Amino acid sequence: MDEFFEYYKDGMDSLIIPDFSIQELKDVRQHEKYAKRRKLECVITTVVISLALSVATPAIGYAAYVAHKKLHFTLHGFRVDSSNQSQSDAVVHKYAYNGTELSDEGIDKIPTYIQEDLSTDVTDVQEYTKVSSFDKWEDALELIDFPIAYPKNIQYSELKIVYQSDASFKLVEASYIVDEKELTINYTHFLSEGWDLSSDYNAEIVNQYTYKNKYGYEFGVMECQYEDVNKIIAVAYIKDDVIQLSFSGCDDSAVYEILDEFNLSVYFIS
Amino acid sequence: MADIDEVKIRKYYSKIYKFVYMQVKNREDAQDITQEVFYQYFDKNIVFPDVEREKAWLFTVARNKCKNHWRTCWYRKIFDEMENISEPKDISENEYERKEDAFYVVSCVSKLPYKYREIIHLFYYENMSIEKISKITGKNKSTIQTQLDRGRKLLKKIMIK
Repeated sequence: MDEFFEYYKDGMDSLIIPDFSIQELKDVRQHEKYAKRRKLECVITTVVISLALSVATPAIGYAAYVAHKKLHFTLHGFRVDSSNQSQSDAVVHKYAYNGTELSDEGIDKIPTYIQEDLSTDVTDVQEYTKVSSFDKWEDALELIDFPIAYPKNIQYSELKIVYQSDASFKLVEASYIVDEKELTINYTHFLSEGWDLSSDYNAEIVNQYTYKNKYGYEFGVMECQYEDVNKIIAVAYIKDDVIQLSFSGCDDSAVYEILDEFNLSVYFIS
Repeated sequence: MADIDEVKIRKYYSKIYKFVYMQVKNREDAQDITQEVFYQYFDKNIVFPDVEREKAWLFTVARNKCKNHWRTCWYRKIFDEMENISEPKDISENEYERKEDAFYVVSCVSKLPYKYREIIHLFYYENMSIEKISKITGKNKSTIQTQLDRGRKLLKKIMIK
């Protein structure tokens, strides 16, 4: 059989390699496909700028409206309502104009209409989450302070890891680019119940089944269609943890091979 | 330095072209896909820690592009090995016979299903280890070993026919 493959080598060595120019290959921007992509990037930039403008215009309008609302002309002059967006600190300054000069009449109590305004925009409490980004798992694992399962042997050309954390919430989101195939991993510590993938992804579920990997862990697998893109989503629930993998651009067998590599018991020791 | 790069790229180009050609079995498609691989290579401008990883990356990209090619087109064209293999000139009768045998073997391998064909090419032509093929294809090492054995058996059957 080895001799047979020597013949194979001879045959392959005789294969005619078409001429090509390295300079042409390097000059990717000349290539039709990349020119198209650049066009697409321009279109996306235009759309983003348009969207930004469409958001900014009403915002400026609203700011002008608020300023106008806070400025009140009276028979004796005008007054400006000032507030630092906290109901307890809200004050009203009165100014009087006697025809020649402007005098400060001091702080007034908060009129009812301002109290109504304040009640709508002060109550929201902004929650701040610490967010860190990494390009390598090694760097991410130094900071991630809880056990995490991830496929170690994927050959990827790009990896982006985002780690978000605060007192009650932890989320690791990793995106792999495996050439044309994109694999996304979402990992969270608190969403174990009521996790509704179909509404989360706004996707139409085409097929749904379970897959038990070689370590005996069961994944709920859904074949979904999301904006004309076929995705395979696999979810494993372990205690309060959820691991979700979203695959696009690869076939079932590739999905199973990756799922098989998850030995979750290694990561979730009670 | 540019010359070293050029030599390296030319070597890779030939390897990738041959690999792709054995997968798509069509000269034009193989040329297009190989060019795509190298457009991506230059576009992404990835710095690889060593030559082996660079080679593995190129083969992985080429493999994925072949798969995409099958998904998107009904490419089934007849493999004409004589058209794409250089004609032997001024060679002895023995050498000519060996070349003919070589063409025959290439055509036999090309009749294998894709999953066996790519592994046999990487193993026997590129002299890659099972581990390296496993990294490129994303398959388990045991799967590669099984597919290699099955590929060889199937090849025997094709030759007997």
